[in-house]
Amino acid sequence: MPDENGESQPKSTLSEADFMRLFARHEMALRNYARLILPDWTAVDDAIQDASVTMWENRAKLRDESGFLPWGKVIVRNRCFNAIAKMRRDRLVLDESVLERIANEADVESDGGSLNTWHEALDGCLRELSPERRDLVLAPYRGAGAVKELAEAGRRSPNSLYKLIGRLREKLSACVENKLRLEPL
Amino acid sequence: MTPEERIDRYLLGQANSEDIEILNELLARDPELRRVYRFRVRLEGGYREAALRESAGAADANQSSQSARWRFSWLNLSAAAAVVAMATIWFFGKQEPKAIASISNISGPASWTGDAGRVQHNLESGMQLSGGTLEGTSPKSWVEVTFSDGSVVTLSGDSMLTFSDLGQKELHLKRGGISADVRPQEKPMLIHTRTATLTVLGTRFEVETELAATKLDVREGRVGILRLSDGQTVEVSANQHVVAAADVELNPTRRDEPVHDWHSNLSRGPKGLHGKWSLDEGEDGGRLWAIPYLTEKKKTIFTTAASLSRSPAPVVVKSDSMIRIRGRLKTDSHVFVGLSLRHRDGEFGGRFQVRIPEGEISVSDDFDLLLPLSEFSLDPSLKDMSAILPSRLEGLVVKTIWCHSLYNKAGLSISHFGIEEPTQRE
Repeated sequence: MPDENGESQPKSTLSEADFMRLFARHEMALRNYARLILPDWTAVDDAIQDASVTMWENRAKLRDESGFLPWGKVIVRNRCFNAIAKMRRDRLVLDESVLERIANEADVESDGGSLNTWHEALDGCLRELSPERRDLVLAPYRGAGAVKELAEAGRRSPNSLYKLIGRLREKLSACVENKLRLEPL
Repeated sequence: MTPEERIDRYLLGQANSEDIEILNELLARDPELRRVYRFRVRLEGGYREAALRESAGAADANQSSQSARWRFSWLNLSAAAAVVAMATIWFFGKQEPKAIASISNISGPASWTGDAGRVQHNLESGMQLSGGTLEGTSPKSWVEVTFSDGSVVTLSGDSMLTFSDLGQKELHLKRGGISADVRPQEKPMLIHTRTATLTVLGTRFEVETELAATKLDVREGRVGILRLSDGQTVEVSANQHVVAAADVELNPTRRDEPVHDWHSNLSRGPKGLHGKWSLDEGEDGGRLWAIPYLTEKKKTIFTTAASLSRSPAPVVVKSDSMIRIRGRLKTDSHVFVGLSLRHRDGEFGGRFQVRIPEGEISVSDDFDLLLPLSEFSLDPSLKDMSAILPSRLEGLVVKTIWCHSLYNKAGLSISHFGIEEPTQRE
């Protein structure tokens, strides 16, 4: 795997446009990789922003297209572990050794096949839910307070809605795994 | 709580220090759980993407529909004026009692008696309730009521609850059991039973009442309990339970560890049983005859049931648990055996059942069924809730075990209910 600055690699022949295209293609994978380490999406956004600047500044050192994702992951990983070291002082996060194991295994794990197939499986499972349930599952990603607003509208406690979301996610996880098993990637 | 649930709590920002501690330990030693963690994170990315996509789609649709909305605004205005006028006439012409709660989930037969004494049987989710009496009329009944402050009270099984909120919530549990998730109250919620009064400021707990005893099981926070027979009071803390009855000491004790094996004792009388009980000369000493009840689809079935709420420890099923039913059938009939389950935190976990086709049970002798848990499937009447109910039964707590037939002439009677774990069997 190349180091963060690509020091061991020969100079790249990638144009700036190639870099932009590759970043767009792999951005989702890099975000998901960062999310393995960081406890929320705001922290992921910050880490990806920092990492993208470093990647851009060092793009000339990238050897070829196939090295983009592993190289990007090294940079993202460093940003994430720096960020989580600071977070540890004032919030509950998993141990660094555990997160390192998870990230190391992700580095060598197959990415689970085509992103399209994976997304189709998840979309299919989300469609199996009623509109209200689907809305509830996606509420935590619609900005701070979305779950609380739903709880107030439904005269329920946010805690009970989070429990419901947890159960729906349990179902969705089983559904996606099942669909992926039936449609080998 | 399963490790997977803790992972989701962590990803949703809901984990507490206990969750983190347990996850650190489990993730450090279990590569399969780390794979699950990575899978859940990937799903998390998918949810976020779907939410952003929908928000972007809604924003686009909003923009494109602006001009169309503008064109119809005059029409909308006149329609709105008509609605306001009709609402005003309706409001002054017919002032209904103020709703203090609504039904947020319901399954199985139940009835509602409101202020005017009218009994309603066709209850449905979303129905607004003023003060009155809610009754679950079968072992399968389950009604979740959400008060206007977000407090949730769930009535389950053959139960009867009267409630009001005139600045202070007062509940009268006349029969059966409730679980409650009560938000902080300015004035404490009072729960009255035949034998006790509970004082609740904001907490989670379960209450079961019988003729001469009230059982309180507290999950979170604290609940005060007053024993009516002598005026003695105690406070019950999280993970403690107490029985308020004249003949036992009012002493909160820590909730027992779960067990996986349970057997009815029908020779002790009809307490905790649903059916017509009689003494019997057989080895079980007692017999429970099926009695009719009307399902929510207006169909009469003949049922027997045993509540496990008297068990000192929660009875938790394992994946390889077996359900034992001994009884007698006078004529051929389909027979259904089922379980009502709860999550460990007291929330409804669904009803699961197995159908034994007509002809498979001998009518000449007593039958003895031993049914693997893996054969049980979700009660079809809960199909609409399948998305929020667990698909796997292991780890759930059994509240009721039942057995029913479809016809009176089947003459179903039960002499023994049991839940067995493999190590207990020969």
